[in-house]
Amino acid sequence: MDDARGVEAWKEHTTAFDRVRSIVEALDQARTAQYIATEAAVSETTANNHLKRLAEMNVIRTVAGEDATRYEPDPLYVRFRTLRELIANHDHEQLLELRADLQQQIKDTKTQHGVDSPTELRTRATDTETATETMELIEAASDWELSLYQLSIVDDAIDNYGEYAAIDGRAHA
Amino acid sequence: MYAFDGGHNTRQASHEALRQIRQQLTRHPLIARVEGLPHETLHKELRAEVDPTAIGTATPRGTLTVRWFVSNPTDPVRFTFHYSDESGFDCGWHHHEQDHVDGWGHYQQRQQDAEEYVYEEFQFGSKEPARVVWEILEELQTIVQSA
Repeated sequence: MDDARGVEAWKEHTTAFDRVRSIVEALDQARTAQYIATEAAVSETTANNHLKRLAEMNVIRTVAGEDATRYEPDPLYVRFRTLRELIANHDHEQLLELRADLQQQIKDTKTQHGVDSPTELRTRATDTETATETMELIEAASDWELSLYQLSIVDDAIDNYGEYAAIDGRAHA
Repeated sequence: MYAFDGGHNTRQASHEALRQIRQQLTRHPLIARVEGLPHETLHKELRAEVDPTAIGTATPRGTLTVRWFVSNPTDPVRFTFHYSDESGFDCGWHHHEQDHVDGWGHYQQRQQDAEEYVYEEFQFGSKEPARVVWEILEELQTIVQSA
């Protein structure tokens, strides 16, 4: 693994903890410590130690597997981190504008493709004549899903802005 | 379980992958700045300014554009890392359906906008976002150093 392209430079510019965290935080499914160690170019012992710390910090969570414990990002931690960035960098008015932008993006995609959900768009992507067309529909469906996720966080930020901003020590807009 | 119901956590995984890619890009000496689009925090695409002078190479500056799409566990991840510079050269490392080479992983390049792309197969060493970033930046560094 260490002689794989880019790994030497990655090790030069990051710590073992950084690498373990960067792999586990972006996992799209729960993985074992052995898998994470290989991907992060660290020993399994090192990976286990760092994963334990990250789990104690609620950055990640464990899942009991048939053969070994698996690790995955903690969805609540991930959500609150984004929420925190939004509250720290936007006032109430800006959040309302963000919500309007996301709603408009979703509306435009619906109109452009004549479908009511990203799932419908993904189904359509399985029945195209070219790979280019498939990829365009997958991109549109993924962006739509991402907009829905982001919209749910912006809604949360707007609904609770007064409380969150007060906790963060910001003046209310 | 980090459940994939085709909904919420799939969406969250795409968001987190882009966030992690952004962090890795900012750590590489070739990258001067990274911008999230259409919004800094709620991004769907990343654009990184590539400054070859930072590694002692006097080739034109360029832009690396990154997209990342998580669908579900039975569907491989799709992504594109595409580079273009001020001379009109552009190239990309992509992983998605296409009709030019076998498999999904491929590299494509052209010297000028008006030219057709030349394609070749590209085997990614990993599909984890952080690893892909460092692998592609090593490839890109080789390209800008040999230009």
